Amino acid sequence: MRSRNILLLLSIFPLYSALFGYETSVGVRVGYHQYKMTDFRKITETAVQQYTSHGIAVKEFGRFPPYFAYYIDYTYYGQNSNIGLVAGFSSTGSTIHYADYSGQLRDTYRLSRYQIGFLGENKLYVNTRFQILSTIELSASRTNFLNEYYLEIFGQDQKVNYSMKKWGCNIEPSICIRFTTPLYLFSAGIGYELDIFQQSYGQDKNGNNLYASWQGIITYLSLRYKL
Amino acid sequence: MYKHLLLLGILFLLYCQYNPTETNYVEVSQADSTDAVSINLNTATDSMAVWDDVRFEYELNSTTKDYKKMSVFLNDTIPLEYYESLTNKYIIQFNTNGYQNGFYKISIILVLPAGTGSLADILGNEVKIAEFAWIIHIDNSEASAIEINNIYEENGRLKIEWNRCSNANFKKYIIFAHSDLLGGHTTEIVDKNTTAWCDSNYIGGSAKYTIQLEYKDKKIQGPQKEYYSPFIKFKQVETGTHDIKITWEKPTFYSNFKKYLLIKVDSNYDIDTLAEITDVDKCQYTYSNDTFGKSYDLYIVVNSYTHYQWFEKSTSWYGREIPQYLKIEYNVPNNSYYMQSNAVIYRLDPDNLETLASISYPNHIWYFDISPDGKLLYSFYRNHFANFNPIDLAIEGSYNLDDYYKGIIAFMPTVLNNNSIYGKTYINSITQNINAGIICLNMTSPNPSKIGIDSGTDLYDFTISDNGLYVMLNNELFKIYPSGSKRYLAEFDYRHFAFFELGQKCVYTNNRQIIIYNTQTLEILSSFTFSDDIITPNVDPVSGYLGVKSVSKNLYYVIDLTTGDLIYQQKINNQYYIDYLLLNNKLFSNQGYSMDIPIQ
Repeated sequence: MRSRNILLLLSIFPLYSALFGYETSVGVRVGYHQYKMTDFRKITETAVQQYTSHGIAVKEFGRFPPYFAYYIDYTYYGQNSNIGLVAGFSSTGSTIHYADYSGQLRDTYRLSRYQIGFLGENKLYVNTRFQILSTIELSASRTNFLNEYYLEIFGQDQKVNYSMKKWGCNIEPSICIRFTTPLYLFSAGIGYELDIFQQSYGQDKNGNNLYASWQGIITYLSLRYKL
Repeated sequence: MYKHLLLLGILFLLYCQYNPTETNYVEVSQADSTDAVSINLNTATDSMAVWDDVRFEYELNSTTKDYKKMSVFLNDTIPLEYYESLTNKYIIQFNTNGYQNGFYKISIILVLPAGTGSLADILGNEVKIAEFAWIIHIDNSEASAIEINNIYEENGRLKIEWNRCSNANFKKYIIFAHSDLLGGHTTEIVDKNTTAWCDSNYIGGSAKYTIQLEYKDKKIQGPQKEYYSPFIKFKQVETGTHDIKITWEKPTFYSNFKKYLLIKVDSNYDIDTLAEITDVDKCQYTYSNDTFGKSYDLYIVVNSYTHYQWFEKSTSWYGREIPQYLKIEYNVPNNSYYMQSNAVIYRLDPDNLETLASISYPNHIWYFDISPDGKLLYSFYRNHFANFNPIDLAIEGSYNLDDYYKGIIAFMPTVLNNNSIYGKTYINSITQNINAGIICLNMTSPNPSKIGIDSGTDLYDFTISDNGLYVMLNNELFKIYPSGSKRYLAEFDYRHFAFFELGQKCVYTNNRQIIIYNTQTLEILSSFTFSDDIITPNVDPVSGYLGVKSVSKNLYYVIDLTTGDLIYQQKINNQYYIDYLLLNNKLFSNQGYSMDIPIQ
């Protein structure tokens, strides 16, 4: 039911374009995103301490590093500004690992986010083939936290997965430059994503709420195809 | 076409999520072997007989204390419970009653860490198995009583033999020995294979032996067996011109012999030790420096060098003084139990106050009686193992009251365990005036009994069924009450005391009051009241003064009965078992000493 509403919403823009003759495009964007993830870094740090206290010399890898984020967008082009719809996927995580002759232990923490929202572009400078724009995106997100525990002792393994999904809302202002051709638009930009709202994943031992904070700098490249 | 490729590219990118796969491999030395390892379990013994609620204790050493799992099994299949005590000992406890008699295996299986430090070791998947086991013998069977097969003399000792107990749940033999000479003693033997025991205390006379078997948590006593062997006897007493040669038999049980002790007792009851002979084979003694003209009895006295004496009258001898007592010392057990009682016998003559005997016997109760032929008898009984069994009269004597026509015989027996007195009338004290034909008795009579009293001229038999002050007066028996009536007026507590004064006065006391009666009319002549409770009163027949002992103070009072004045008080040992007697201005005690009372 929800997906049918989204399809109906997405169909409004091509219909609008066909009726009134405005120019539209679909595009794909790849960004490289930094994430704050302060609370989850503490969670994995505590896990490492606990393993170590039991005599297991584990190491943590990743610790929620910057990683690629992927977006698609559908844009309507106006005289001085553009509006559109955008959907994206981003992920990060951390893994704790130990192995010796008797087996291995891997404890992976992964955060994956799907987001959908609106975008707006304002043309700051325009000539025949080159534009400078300021953009802003407002999106709602659904973040899935997945903890995968894997233990293997003398060839016998054990897997335990645990997941939790929470809602969030973000805003991302950025600035980009764009090169245009009759069919394609090439863009490169830099921005900063801010958390507006995040649902809590629980509380730590001090009673503080734990959040998945997606805040951070993002750089991206974009390719759009005019319809 | 390329539009479709673009769409596929978008979908591909959507699934390129972060997926960390880095690894951290650590080199760890592998365990040498996962075979069983030895552990150090400290059990009491490797094999034992058990019964009922059996309980094993054991300790784990420092290595095995880190075990991950411990299981205890009986015969590898039946799990047994265990727990850890406060002293870090592990305890297995189970009841064997549900099991048949036989041999069983108890095993402890410990799962221990491999100690390599690997992931599997830390998580408990790499372990060593240690097993410790021992055999137990469950024996719930009942045992039969142990019967003594044989008692005989062997190498100068008395040997007792019995059949071996075959039960695995045997704990010990306990031999109860009781002889008239030594009383009772016990010996415990924990070696099941021991089937004989020598009594190193027995030297003669009647002895009874019983073997009690302890097994499981029970005791069973076998039948009593008695043994008798004659005591040492005199062989011959030869009198020469200036010496006397005495020979006697060597003791049958010479291994228990300690020494011979030769004692001379003259007719005045003065006792002298003549010689000590430690050579058991030297069974003769020659005594010179004798005197003539006295009569005596000849006794063998068997005596331990610690506490116990035993007399056996051998023969009578007249004509000259010789050593009259032969005392033999021997070993005595250390585990006999006796109480102490004392008695002092005084004979009072107006011209010559003398002590007839001062005798201290453990666990003996003195009895006094007057025989139908007019003699005053004294003897004692031994109380052993709660059985009030009379034994041979170890000491007995008689005095013809006529021999002491002008005097008084006063007895001051003290018995610690009054509860043991039964079966015979116990006379706390006797005072009498033969001239007046009066005997005044202060009696404790737990059971109705018949007693005969010689008033000096005739014999009277009467029955007393309660305690109190009785006065035999002019061939009539009266019971005296505080009011002076001869008839029943009130209960008379036997703990009160009564006595008779020479002359025409009869005195009665209760806790704090003294009442003096006219012995002819039983009228009250006078009465006195003390500030504290008084006991053991008597009237000195010479001075006519009353002496009493204070219950709460360490004082002995002397009262002038005529005036009622306290004329003297003496500090004394006021323990309850010490009695005092005021005679001829001297204070005597049943502890065998006397002191002068400076009364003018």
